[in-house]
Amino acid sequence: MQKSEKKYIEILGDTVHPIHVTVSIILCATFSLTGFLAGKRLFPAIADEKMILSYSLLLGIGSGLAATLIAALLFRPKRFLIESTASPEEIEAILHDMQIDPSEEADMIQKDAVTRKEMEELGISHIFVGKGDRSS
Amino acid sequence: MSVLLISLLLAIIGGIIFSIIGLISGTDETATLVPFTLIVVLLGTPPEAVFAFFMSAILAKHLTHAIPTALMGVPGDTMAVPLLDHAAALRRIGVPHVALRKMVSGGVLAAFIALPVSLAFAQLLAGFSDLFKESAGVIFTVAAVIIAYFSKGRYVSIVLILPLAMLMQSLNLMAFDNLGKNLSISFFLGIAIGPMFADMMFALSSSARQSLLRDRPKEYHLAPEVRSWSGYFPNPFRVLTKRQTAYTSGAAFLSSLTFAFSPVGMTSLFGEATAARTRGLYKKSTTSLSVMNGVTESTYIAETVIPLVAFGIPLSPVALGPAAALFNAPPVFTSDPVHNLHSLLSVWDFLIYGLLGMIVAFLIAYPFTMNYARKATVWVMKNISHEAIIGMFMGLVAVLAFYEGELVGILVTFAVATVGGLLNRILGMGSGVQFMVFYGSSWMLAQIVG
Repeated sequence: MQKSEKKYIEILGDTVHPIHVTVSIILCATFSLTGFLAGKRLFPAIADEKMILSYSLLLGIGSGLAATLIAALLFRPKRFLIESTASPEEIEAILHDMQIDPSEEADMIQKDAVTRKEMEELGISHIFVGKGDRSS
Repeated sequence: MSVLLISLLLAIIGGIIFSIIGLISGTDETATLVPFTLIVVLLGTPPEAVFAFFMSAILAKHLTHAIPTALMGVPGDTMAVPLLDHAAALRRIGVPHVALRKMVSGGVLAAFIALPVSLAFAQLLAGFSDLFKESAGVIFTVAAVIIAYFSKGRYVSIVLILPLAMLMQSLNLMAFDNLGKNLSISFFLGIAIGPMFADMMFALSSSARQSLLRDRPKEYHLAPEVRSWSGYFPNPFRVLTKRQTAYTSGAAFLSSLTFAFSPVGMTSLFGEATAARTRGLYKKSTTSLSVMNGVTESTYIAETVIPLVAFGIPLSPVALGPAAALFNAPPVFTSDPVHNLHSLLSVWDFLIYGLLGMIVAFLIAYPFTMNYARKATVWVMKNISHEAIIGMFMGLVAVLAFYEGELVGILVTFAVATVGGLLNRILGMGSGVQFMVFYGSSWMLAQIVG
């Protein structure tokens, strides 16, 4: 195992930095609980008695969300966004890959008036027609 | 403020928050909906507004979860997993926007069919409601066994029902000794965040960490912008062909009558049935996607509404997971004895406020999805780190558990998250089973220990 370069961990399907996620959790939990406890101290002076807990909860949640914002500003996402555009050749390869014969598919669409009209309206009727016939 | 105004306001808030959450791939419904619904309930919101909030939230989330699914091939949440194959086919041939439009339109159509159908069906079932309420303990236990059998872990989930029930009751006893009251929010928050918590524990373990280590950030492939309409957004009922409308409506109707099965399972089932009846890649994929996203909406609505309106006790996977707080949010709502939306709202309230929530969600999420899907995805991917999202949920959970039981509440939540999360991740004992075990645990132990 080469352990030197593996600095990310995957939690719930996305990559995070271990230290960043720890700091973020501590930050949010501290803010939320502090907000709630502060609310329990402050609100008895200004609010109706049976609303104190609810208002405090709201304050706790509000400060938790503020902490989330801070965490979002402090820690940038660890993701690569790759924009992929498929060229007509690639589309043909993909169709081949999916074991679909473009001409058969085009034929089927030609015979189906509803689908043909829909694809024409969307400007995507070229997809199955093959190379050289790209009008959109 | 009048109830109607509060409902409208909360529906707007729910629609906006969950439109955004839908965009964030991989956000689990239970972990997101339970804390937010709890907050709304505990703040003393009128029951009508709670329901409007919930309906708006689920519709909005299921419309925007189509965005990462269509544009990046990453499921927006677990419900979107069965849609991936067809969405990927359309994305690869360069028409992800068509996939998106079909999904979103199917979802909207199905949602508006599902609410009245499931309400009517709930009325039929309500005749048995007293029977159900009196024997809630037995029902939860039997249901736990059935759900366990269908969970990923199957036999191990059945074998572990009793030990887990005992563990939860002991924790509850400990909490009662310290606080003089029973806890329940802390328990189901623990169950809800279990899987996320398990990942974190793996990360902290020097022996288990290897499986989670990555040498570089995760890659997302985003399809290019293709916009074939400008300035307006298309009428959802014109996006679908007549045949797609008919299939989606039929599937929505049928799936609204099934409330005890897994929504993901139902979605796959109806999707496969549609695909088998349709020829041609383009037509097959677009038709299946409309039907499947429709079924994700209709099963969700039916599984929430039917148990809620007919019995008031959570008897479906959705009612036990994402909708749990509508049934049980002590001290405001309890399901044993039944004192929740079931007893507080009439069928007409459910229909009116449910429709209100859904219309609001539609007005927010639909134009948003149609016009800003790609821009919003890029923005979220580039600006909202996963660290911040995990932090937010841990913060919410901490404050809610503390609200219910101070430090004891937090300890109970993390104890349950530890055990539940590991059982879930390693042994395949899903959250649904764990929720059922929690609900049935006092009855089970009363029968055995006395």
